[in-house]
Amino acid sequence: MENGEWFNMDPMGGRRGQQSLYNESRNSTGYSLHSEYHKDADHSEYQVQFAGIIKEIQVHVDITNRTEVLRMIDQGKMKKMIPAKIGTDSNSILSLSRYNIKLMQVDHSTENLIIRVPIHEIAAVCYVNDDGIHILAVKYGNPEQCSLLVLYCDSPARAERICSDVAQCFQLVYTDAVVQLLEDTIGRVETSSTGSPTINENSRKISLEGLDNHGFSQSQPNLSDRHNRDKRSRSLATSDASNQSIQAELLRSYLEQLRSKFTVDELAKFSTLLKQINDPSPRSHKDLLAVFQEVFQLYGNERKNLLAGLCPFIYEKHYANFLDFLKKQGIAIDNGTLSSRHSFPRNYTRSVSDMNTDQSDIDSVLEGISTQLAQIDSNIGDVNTYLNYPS
Amino acid sequence: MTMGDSNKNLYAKMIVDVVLGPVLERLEKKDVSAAQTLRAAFTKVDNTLPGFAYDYVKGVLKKAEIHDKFDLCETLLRLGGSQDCEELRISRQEPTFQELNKCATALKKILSRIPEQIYDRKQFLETIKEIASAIKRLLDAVNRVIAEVPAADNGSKQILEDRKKEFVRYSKKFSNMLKEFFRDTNQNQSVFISANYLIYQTNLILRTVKQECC
Repeated sequence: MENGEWFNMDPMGGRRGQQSLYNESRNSTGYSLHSEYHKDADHSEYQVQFAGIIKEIQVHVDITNRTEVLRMIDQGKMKKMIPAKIGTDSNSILSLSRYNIKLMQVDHSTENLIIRVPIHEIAAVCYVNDDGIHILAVKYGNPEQCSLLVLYCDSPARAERICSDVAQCFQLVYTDAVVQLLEDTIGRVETSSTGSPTINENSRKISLEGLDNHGFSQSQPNLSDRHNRDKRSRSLATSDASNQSIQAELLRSYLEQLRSKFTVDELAKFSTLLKQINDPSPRSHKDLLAVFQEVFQLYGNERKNLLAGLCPFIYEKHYANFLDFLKKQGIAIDNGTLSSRHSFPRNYTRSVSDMNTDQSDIDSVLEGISTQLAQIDSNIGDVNTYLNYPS
Repeated sequence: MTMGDSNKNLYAKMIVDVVLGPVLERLEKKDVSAAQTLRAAFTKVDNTLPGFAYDYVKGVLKKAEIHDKFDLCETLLRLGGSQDCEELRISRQEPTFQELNKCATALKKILSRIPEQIYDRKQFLETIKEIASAIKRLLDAVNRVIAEVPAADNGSKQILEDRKKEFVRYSKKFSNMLKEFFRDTNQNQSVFISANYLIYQTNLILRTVKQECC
């Protein structure tokens, strides 16, 4: 979504009349209308009351089912995740933009961020009228863990408006994703026409026919089988020799890219970390995350966009964890946000563990690069001697 | 040349492909000589006077008093996927060439559905996904045809490569028009025009393959 384009949210403009009343009250209590979160004009705000967050709900739960939602909220009340009654200290501002929904607690002259949920992590939003209490429930999370954000609205109109605006947001995100898909496809075929390895459909069965999207039936992108779909999209390649050479070529191409941006020491560290990630011996989730964190630190902020290119070379069993890690760092995967793009196939469909070339191929390429760089280094000699070189 | 002129030339060429072509093909069954003479005449005149076929058909529609009853651009797009005359079919029977025929027909068919689906956002987005897939398949098929061209025949290879590049250029324009449309849904006409260009480019690929390989 970082590279996506934002299509006009004009249809949502009608709500600004409602919002302006709120802004007036914000003004009257001295709130700033230009806080760091409100730089973008394309967002909308709504008055709500924050009830609570129910954590660790079942991923497959259908929150368009009224009974299910109320059951979860009742359980949340019993577990004290949701208070039985709420007061004015629950007054909040819900802000909706193309990037996220954001909930801020309003407390006289201050606004405190309660939670921020990226759009691609939202599975569904629903409105339930429970004997005059207008409940807005937002299911969000990832395939492994979902939570339910519970809000109260003062009127059905507001609750319905929020649902409608979020649905529109999903549609805009999905529209952007589809157009991006078309552009990426054209970009890929253009590349294949200029002589880069052309991967024809005999050796790499990338198909756009397998796409399915449930993102717009009742504002509910399908998170529950995203993980399976992702796995499915990764296990398509055949095992013939030409495909192996193509995969090795892809790996070399990625490493060449790194070589232009990393120092020799960094490349050596990269090699060590990649070996650790692809080590098939059992280890804890915490240890794996620690390695991912080291890789992330190695790439740094300026090169973190290259991390997504590492996906095809990650050991199959660690791939899902790596993907989640990237998404938590806000790194866009090819054609991927969770709710709208997750069903699109990735560019590459095999992991290193599927490749016959295996870790030894990475090692040999990295060694080759390191050796070349070391040779260049020794040829250059002491850089300081150049400083006095006559011009 | 103004934008209006270039669109008129496009319409003229589309009219030759999707209106006159199929009509003349039906005429061929009754009078081969007349049909072939007319076909040659239309092609020659339109090459000499670009846009002639458009003026001709407009004149016929005016005479029938239906020229203002429908949108020509949209209609040509609808026809673009439904009509396929012999002139646009590659006769070589090898799988590579027949696959190209199939992929070209498939893309044109999907593009021709745009007018009826463009106002249903969900359906239209699904169509765009299909278009992306069809474009990829078409160009993969073209690559396979190019691979079959004898190595010694560099001229033909280059002509086909150029034709492919042109197609990619118009694909990008189509993608840009879609973005404009999603910003402003009044831009549907631009989408129809760019889709027509894509159909025309597809037909051009078929003609070029026929010319170079058959």
